[in-house]
Amino acid sequence: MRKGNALLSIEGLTVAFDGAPQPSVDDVSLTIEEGRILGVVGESGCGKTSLARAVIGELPARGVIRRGSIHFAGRDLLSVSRKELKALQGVELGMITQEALSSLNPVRKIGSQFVQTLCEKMLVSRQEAERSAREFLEKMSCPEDILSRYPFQLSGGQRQRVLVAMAFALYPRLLLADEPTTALDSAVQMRVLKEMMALKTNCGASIMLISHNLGVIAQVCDEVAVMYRGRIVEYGEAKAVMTSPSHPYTRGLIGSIAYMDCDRNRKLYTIPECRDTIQRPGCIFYSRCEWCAEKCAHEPPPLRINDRGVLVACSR
Amino acid sequence: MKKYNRGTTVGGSIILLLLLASAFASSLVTMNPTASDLMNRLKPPNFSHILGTDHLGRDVFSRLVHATRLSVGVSVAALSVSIATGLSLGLVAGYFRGVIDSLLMAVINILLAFPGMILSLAIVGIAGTGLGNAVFAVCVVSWTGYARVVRGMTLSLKERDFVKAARISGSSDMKIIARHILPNLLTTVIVYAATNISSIAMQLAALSFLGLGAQPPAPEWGIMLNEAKGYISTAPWLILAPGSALVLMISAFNLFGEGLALCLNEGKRVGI
Amino acid sequence: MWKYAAKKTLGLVAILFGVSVLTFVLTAWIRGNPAEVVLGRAGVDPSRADVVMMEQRMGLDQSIVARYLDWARNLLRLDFGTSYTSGLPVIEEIKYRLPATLHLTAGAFVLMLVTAVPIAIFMVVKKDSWTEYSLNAVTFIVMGTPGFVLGMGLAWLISVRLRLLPMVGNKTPAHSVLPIITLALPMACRYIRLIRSNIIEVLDEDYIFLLRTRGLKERTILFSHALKNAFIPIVNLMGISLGSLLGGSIVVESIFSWPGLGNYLMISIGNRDYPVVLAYVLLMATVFVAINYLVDLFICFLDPRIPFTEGKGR
Repeated sequence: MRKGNALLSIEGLTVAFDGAPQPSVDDVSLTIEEGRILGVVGESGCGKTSLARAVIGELPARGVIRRGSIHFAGRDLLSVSRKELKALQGVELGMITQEALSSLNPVRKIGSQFVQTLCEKMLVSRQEAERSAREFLEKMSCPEDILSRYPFQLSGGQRQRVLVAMAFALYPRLLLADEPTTALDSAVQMRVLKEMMALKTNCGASIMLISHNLGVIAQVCDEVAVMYRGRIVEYGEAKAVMTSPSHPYTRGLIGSIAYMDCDRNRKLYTIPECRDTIQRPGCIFYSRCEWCAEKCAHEPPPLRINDRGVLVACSR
Repeated sequence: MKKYNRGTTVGGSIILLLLLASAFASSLVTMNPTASDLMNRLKPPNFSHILGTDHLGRDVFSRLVHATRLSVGVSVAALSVSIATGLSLGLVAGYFRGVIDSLLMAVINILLAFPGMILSLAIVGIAGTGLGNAVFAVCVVSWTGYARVVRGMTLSLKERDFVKAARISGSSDMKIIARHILPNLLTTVIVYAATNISSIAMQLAALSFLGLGAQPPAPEWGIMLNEAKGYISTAPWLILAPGSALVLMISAFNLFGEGLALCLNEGKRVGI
Repeated sequence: MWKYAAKKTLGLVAILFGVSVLTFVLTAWIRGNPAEVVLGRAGVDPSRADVVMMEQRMGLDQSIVARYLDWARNLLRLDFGTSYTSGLPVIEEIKYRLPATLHLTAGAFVLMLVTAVPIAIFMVVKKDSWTEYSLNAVTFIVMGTPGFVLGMGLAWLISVRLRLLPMVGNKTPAHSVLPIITLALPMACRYIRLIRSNIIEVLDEDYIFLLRTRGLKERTILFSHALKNAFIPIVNLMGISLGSLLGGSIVVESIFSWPGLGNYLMISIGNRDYPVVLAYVLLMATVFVAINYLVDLFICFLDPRIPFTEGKGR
């Protein structure tokens, strides 16, 4: 990886939950550069969300960071005080989550929630905050009167747009977008994504886009990290990873996308089911891998760089 | 069973102890709970009377233990009658809908318009004092909760696929209710009952305290407190014993009920 | 919103009608012939002719529907009949004693609110500390203490032992302290626990998490977001708890010889003064229903979703 002007760099991050047999994020290292979009892909429960929550400093009460470091814009996020962190949150580090209905306070109007956040974080007057809110909501093509509506009166797409607008209105340098469009149907999903990317360019933010939708990732990301069971199994340029995946898991993920124009008689690829839940000494993907060798069972694969400059955790 | 709950165990054990005490009251205490001894009135706790004696010289400890029979037993009886009424009416109304359902809901809504304690007081006040009427009054107030919960659940269970399937395959209504609907209701009803019994016990004790429930000289905690009312300044131990017993019983019921609701994850549905 | 309010108002009228019918039905349980009860109270052994005459005077010879209509018509004019004991109109007797009971219930309600909310918030802030555990235990026990046990305990401790406050009657404001505390405390403890668990539950919601990631102050999150949401179910319960307060006031009035409606009710039950009992029940139910009607409208103002979701769940 280029270590140019990294905005966010995560080194060997390990996050564990009380009572869970294995860490939900295991020795993860990532970098996001200024203005770039990093996609994080993986199935549900692979630790994507825990990763994002660890970065923004709001892990659930049972989650603990065991090892590693998170550096953001030259600051060590794991050693800043609570107060400093609060000052960073929102303004420097933004976050959007998946469930748009439950992500807005159900009993307060959009306008009041929006303006309150802007007033407190940007230290602006109510009028200014309202003007700015209007401007950002308009950029996300929300209807004029949305400020005076309640979340339950909006469609799923509108709610998600409000969340995106609210996040960008604080001009964050890095936006952690955790499945921002997953709950939407695909037409709306693409439109929201497009508007989001336009806004991103406008504000000059970097994005960590977490998704299990490879289509979304392929369309917008500069780099991709593929996560499996808390670990990164493949990490590199989006184009290189998507066109010629090296790790069997990535290959499986890409192979299992259904295309309109593909051969109907060809069987859609499915990754074999996960059979063991205990941590083995060897490769974490061993039990589901179709290409595994004998040594994969007891020897963890080293992270190596392949010929296209992509990091891969596979021995073969 | 989501998780083990210490509250349920502790509360349950206390309830069990109280039930045992009520079952073996006469062998636990040898002294007659209603025998008065006017020579030894209002004696503070001593060796022969470990909780003292009351205004008629009766042994407080003996009365306290014998009172579990009425205090706990009557609460359980009132609870059973309420459950039986509410469950059957709720099932019928929810399953068959129609006129019965509208009628039931109208009656429930009207009954709920009265503050519970006041309605039961009025019923006892008009129908006459006595344990039977007190139990009846408390049941009139508390069956509505069961009927509402059961009716609501029956309505939604009826729309579930397994019930539809049973109906299509020709099961009779009675069979569907007994085999498919009732078993799915039971957890909720049990949790509701566990959280409801403390308020039933509290109401019955209050009625007895006001002199409308169980009648003297029967040993009952509410009556004992009523009789102790006049001796607050001279014989406070007369309040302490039955008062603590009541608090213990109600807290045990609360502990048990809350714990059970948490364990079975039914807290939301019964409204705690 | 207006449609919802209109629907609720219609429901209110229907319920009040039902309440009057049910109260009337209660008279069916009166033991013996009311005419005989009235005559017997005068101290004469009534002859058959006397009873028939009295029945006619009381309208007991008419059909049940006619009797109900007659009775209901009088109710609308606030005529609850005359007390068997004093011979005065029941409404006068009630008017005379109502202020004392209102003083008690209103005082208890206010005391409950001003103590429950801060203590609940305090417990949330101090979560998982020994302070919280002990408060938890204390509120649990007080919640399970019947009003008469608590009242007599407090009376013994504060009036008899410490001689801080007077116990019986309502001559001075100091007299009202113990009854109000007795009435408020168990309910307050119930609310402390409810509000606390509601706040904790709301603080677990997604939008609270998102507010945190936006770096909003914990104070802003708690007071301007979590509290309102945690309060909506509580406000609903408060209307219902008012019923418990009214019921509890009977017990408390009887312990502290508080000259209010509850005490009067107990005396009237003892005297088999049925018009008073019926009037009391009717009045309390009406107050209760009316308060809950207002609570419904108020909640609608707190939670704009209510008019849209109401009815869907049934």
